[in-house]
Amino acid sequence: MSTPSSSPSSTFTRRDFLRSGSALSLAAFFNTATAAPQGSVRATKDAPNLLFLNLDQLSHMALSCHGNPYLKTPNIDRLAARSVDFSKSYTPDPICCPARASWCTGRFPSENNVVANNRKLRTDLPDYGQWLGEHGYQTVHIGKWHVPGRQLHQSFQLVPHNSHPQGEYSDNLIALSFEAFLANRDHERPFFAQIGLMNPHDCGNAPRTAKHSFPFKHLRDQLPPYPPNFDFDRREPEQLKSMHNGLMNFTKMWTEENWGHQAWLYYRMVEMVDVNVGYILDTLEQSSDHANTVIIFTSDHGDANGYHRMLFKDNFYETSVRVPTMVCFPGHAPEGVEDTKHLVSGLDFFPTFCDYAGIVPPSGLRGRSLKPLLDGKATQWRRYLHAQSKASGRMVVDERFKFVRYYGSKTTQLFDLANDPYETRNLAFEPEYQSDCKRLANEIDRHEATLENVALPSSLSKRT
Amino acid sequence: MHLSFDLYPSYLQSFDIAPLECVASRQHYAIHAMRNYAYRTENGRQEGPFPQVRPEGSLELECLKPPTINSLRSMEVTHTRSWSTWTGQKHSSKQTIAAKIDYAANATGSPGKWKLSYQSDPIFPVKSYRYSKIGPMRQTGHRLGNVITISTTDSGQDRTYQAHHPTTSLYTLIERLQAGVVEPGPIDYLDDLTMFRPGLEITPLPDQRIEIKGTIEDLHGFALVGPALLPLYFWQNSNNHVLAVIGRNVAYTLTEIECK
Repeated sequence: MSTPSSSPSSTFTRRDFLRSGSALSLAAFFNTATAAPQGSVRATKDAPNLLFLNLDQLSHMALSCHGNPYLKTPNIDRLAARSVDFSKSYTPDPICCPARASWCTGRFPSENNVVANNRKLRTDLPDYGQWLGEHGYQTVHIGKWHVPGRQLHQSFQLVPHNSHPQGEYSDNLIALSFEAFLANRDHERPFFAQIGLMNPHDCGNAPRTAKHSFPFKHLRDQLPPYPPNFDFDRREPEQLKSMHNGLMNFTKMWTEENWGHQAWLYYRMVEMVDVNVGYILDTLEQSSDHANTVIIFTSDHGDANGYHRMLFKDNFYETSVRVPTMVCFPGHAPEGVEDTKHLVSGLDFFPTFCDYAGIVPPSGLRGRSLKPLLDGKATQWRRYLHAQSKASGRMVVDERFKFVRYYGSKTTQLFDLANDPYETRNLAFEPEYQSDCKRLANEIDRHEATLENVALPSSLSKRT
Repeated sequence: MHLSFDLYPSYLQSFDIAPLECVASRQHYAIHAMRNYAYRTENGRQEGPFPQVRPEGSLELECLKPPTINSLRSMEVTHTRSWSTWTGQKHSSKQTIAAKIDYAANATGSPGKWKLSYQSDPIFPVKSYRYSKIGPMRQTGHRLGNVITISTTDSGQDRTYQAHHPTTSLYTLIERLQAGVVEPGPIDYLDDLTMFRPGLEITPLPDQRIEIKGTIEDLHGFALVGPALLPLYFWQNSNNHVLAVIGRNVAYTLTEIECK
């Protein structure tokens, strides 16, 4: 691999940063940088490589290793068998841009300004590509990025192609580009590779196909039936209900076959990308880097896939907000362990990368490093996990309950995840659960007061 | 009308030429992809969503003069994909697979031996975007018995896959369809000659009559369907030319065909 001389990707050095030191804060430095930082201070020789392998729109439930009988994902299952699989893992915000902006800055959408798709990231927050590059890592991004306001070449030293591949016919190329990178990488430095595979995101386009009869009569027995919570509790927050009603109106003529067709397409997309994940894992496992590479595997959000008679994402139901998170570090982290105890957030990845790299993270990160959990060290972990949606939505989860509130909506939701995992009964209307609602609402207020939220435009803030 | 024709018929072209019986040929396909949706304001009302379909590359197949052994064929492939991140942006990088494949002249076009090169190139100048060249990365592949081996030259890595069925690829299947010899049945698929997707099937499609640029065409074809793949629909005209290969978000449409 070569970097053309016209590329500025290697032109910013720590010297540049130090030269600018008296006049610029670190944040301002990253803001004004026209190219991704490349620190001259080498990471320690034995610092591990970091592979952040992320999919798009993969629900926690959409894997065969998580018990789903309607698809087979042998490669992700293989990764799970070599990882700690955090089963209580949630995205910071169940839609693309806010989730990804939260990953890369370690800050909630209400703080980083990306509270909805296509809103621009605050320019004064460093992202993990910049931070790790400044601290001696070779940084590469391949695949989907989708963080408006932060151009890829400002964050990563190597960017071989555009963001936004088409999962159906471009994810193969993402896997090949990773192989090309690994075969030619700079072995003087550890690498941080963010690999963003697109599938199964494009199930968003599937309804135009699913509205037709399933075209393969002899394969009809593969169509999933209605999901177990197809009939759901309609007492939803008004903002969610508005969106949900629109989707139900869109699908009101659908039969069970149409819903099954939609789910069948989604699962084929998950299987498609599973092959690409397998290719990437094989590439790494056959390389000399394998033993010294931490893999974090996750997705930016899930997909409703018919659950709650819903499609797509952007809500707090488990199919949308709960995602797989697997961490693998051969010989250092346990293998084949499902962690059902700890509440994990996509905000935890940035501090985890810094912890493994042995570098101090930027101030203000909201997540926690997963490394102590992976090292088996006793640690005081979070009791509550928070997520946001649509600027005004807030979710808090504890070991048993999920509480959802949208500012401006009168109706709230409380689900007993321990006893009602499909979220079929909104307990916020039950007298005996009012104390839990109050406790969790107070927790949202307490947490919110700790954030450095940005001012939102009236089109968004009027909803809050 | 078949569900695969919901977006792409306007890209199909009619070819009123005889079946390819020449010893060597060249076929060029344009690639169009459905990317996202747009909304328009018409008479004060927001209308939509309208699917946005964009040109995203090309596929060129050059079928070479067969050697004296009639059971073998060779072809050269140039498969270029190029997209922009946002609607309306110019493409700023492209990814190219170039390959030479020796394959069986059987019902599936089973690749027997191949060489492949993959690279990603920036397209300059594009405002605000700066991409890095990557590659070329070279691979060789072969099938021996039921074992498929793909070797990456740069890294020395070998991948082996156990095939349980005849194997095919997009490229060789198109050629075999045009030869009129494809039969329904189980098949393993080498997607982009690199990603192994086993356990699929080739199944016939119901005949379709559609209008292509003013000409009524009777189409027949096959689907490639099964695990780890969105169905691919191969549509042929009465002379067996494969006019289109249609997925859900992507379509390859024949734009040129010639005997050499």
